[in-house]
Amino acid sequence: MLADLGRFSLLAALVLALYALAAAALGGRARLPGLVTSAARALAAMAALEALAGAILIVALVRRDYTFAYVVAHVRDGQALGYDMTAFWSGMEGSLLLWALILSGYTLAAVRSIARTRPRLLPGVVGVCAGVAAFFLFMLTAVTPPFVTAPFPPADGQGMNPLLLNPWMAIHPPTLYLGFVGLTIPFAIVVAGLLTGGADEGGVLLARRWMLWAWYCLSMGLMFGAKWSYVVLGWGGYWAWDPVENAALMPWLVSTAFLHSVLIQERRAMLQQWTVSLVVLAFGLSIFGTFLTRSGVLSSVHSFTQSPLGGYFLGFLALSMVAAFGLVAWRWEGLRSEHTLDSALSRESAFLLNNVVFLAVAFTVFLGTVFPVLSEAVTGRRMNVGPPFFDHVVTPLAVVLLLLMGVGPLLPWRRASTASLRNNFLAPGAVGIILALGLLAAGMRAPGAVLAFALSGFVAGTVVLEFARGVRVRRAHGEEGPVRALAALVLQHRRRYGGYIVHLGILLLFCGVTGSSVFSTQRLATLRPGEAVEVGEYRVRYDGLRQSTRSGTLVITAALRAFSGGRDLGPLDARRNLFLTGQDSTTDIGLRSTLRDDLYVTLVGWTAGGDATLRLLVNPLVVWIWAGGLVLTAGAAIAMVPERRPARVREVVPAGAWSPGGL
Amino acid sequence: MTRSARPVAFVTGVVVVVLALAYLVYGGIQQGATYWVTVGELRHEYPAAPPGRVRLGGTVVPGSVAWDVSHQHLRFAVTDGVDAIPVRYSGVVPDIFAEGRQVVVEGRLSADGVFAATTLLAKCPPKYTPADPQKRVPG
Repeated sequence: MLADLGRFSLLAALVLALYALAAAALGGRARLPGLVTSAARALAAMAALEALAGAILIVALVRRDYTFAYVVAHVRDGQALGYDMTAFWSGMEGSLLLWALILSGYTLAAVRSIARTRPRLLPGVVGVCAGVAAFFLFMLTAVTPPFVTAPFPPADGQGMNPLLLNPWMAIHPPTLYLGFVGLTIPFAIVVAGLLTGGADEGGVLLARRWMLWAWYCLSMGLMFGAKWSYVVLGWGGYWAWDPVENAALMPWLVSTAFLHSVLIQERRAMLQQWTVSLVVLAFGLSIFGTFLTRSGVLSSVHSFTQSPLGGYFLGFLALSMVAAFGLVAWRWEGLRSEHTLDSALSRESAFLLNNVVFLAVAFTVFLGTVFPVLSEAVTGRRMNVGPPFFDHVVTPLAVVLLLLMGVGPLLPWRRASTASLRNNFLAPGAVGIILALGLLAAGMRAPGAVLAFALSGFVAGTVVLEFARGVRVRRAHGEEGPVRALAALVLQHRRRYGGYIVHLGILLLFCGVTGSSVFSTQRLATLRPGEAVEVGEYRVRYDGLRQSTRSGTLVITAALRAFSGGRDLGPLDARRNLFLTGQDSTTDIGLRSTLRDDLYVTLVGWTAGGDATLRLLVNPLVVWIWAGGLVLTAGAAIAMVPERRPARVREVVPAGAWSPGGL
Repeated sequence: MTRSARPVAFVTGVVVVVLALAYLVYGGIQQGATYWVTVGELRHEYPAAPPGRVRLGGTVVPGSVAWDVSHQHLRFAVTDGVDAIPVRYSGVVPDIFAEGRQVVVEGRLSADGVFAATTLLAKCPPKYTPADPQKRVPG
């Protein structure tokens, strides 16, 4: 029977993972390379068994085999085949299996490259990956088994929650998981480095490549989730500071901090203790995040302890964090850096400050997320902090980060001189000030928004300046045209300029968030057919209700037409889909996006007489957020492609020097 | 790096960030924190003086949901299995909101005894742990 085979393969995979853990530990200690190789092979076999289990679940889902409890819970007749497959990760059991599968894929890739480049780290990496895999396989065999069967299968399944039947939701969880799980490999590399001796810088730099990938996947996962929230949930926003969103944001913040501080480590051999701690923390947050997302404890009205999953996850989290941070403390002296901070006004200190602020944001998000539990423990009363708390604390910190994003690249390494400061800040500073004056002249009165846009202009100015200088230096040395010089510049220093492109993406995102949160206007209106309502600079006319049925769904459509000034912008329908089985309903928003703003309409309610209640929003600059995601992708892709000439690490740079190729 | 070698200005910067964070967090909690209460607590512990903004968790009473077109708000009642409180809410109703489902509403109890909610969160029907109807639903 398929289910038995699935159960058996997960059990066998668990045994292999435990064997790999033991063999790697023993082989690493006793220096028996043969044993370590056998542990790595065991992991390959484990991966194959997990793949078999995954294939069985896919087959069961696609064949709609209702003897599987998991299939019954997530598939029903009439559900599109594509969503039968994405049902793989719509439940807890399947998600954990996906976690394990991604982990073994990453593990195999990491083990291959590490065996070739840094065999010294192999036992540690194999051991840590085996340990993490063993935890998830234990969960899959003992706590949340995906292959539970029912003796009397129902004729039809319950199907997925209709809200999840959306392309963005289909790709959001796996993308996020690629990021979450990707944080395990840097963790394994760093722990392996700590086990073999303190100062293995190469290990941290190797971890950086993995971290960049994980960071990118987390960014995209967050972006897809925001897009889903915006187009499916119908509340008009994309980010609600929900615990499940925060779960993914926290490791993103910490890995962003890492990607910055590792530059200083690479360049100036400083901050090893700090970067190593960030890697450990990011891994811990990935486990914590999986726990939050999967068990749904915080979004529920129930308390933490009622989920059977919670105890195991928190136990594993505590164990791994105590062990890893214990290891860091044990090797603390060995991680001490040879270099020191020369001046408070230097690129190093700007990066350090950036790290402090990123961690402050991560801490805030953590505090706000666990606040109900924390307050209950301290005061005995359960309290909650909502979006106002997060907005209040995070907004000023984000502005500081934005400022640092502009200042950092302009400050020279080691120590800044007054002349270099004037030289570097004059043009971008002018851009920011002119933008601020322009916005004020155009009638923008919200001080926060003017500040945010002016700072964005300043940062964009610094990025353009960096590109322009690089091109100028190249052209001074050769006969290249400007376009060729720019392309060659970016391709030869992919990480540096890829990073700047990512900054541009973040700027777009920042402007989009500012515009849509400060200048959003909304209106609730009940209209008779033929009536129109004004919202922002738009006028929306309601032309009556239509009713239709579509595969088990009653679709109520409010026929709308949008106008801007005298211009007819065409039809803009808002729908509600009422599922004939059960009480579920979904919303199809009416959305008209332009670079300037989004007109966003939800059908809230209607009467038998044909009146409709609509909620209309004009959200400025939302498209900039999605555009920021695309630009970020381009930058990350450039930064991730390996450089042809590996940059020399740790050059001695004269104080105050600006180096075209450095970083 | 040794402790003494750290420039004073940088340490000052970090201290400023930490103090600013503490200040912001304190202000944020003052401004945004709400107590979680159950329907029973709201009914019995605060009969005379309703507290400020609270989060109320409970189950939507079947048959209680009505859409008030003239006031453009939703009326329903939440219960913890023993007591019930009427709620009025205007805003976006989550798609998964339905009778018999668990919800969290945030707002305050008004003088007429109706809970005026400004936020409505609904929870997906529990697939793994069927609720025990005998028990009060914890807030």
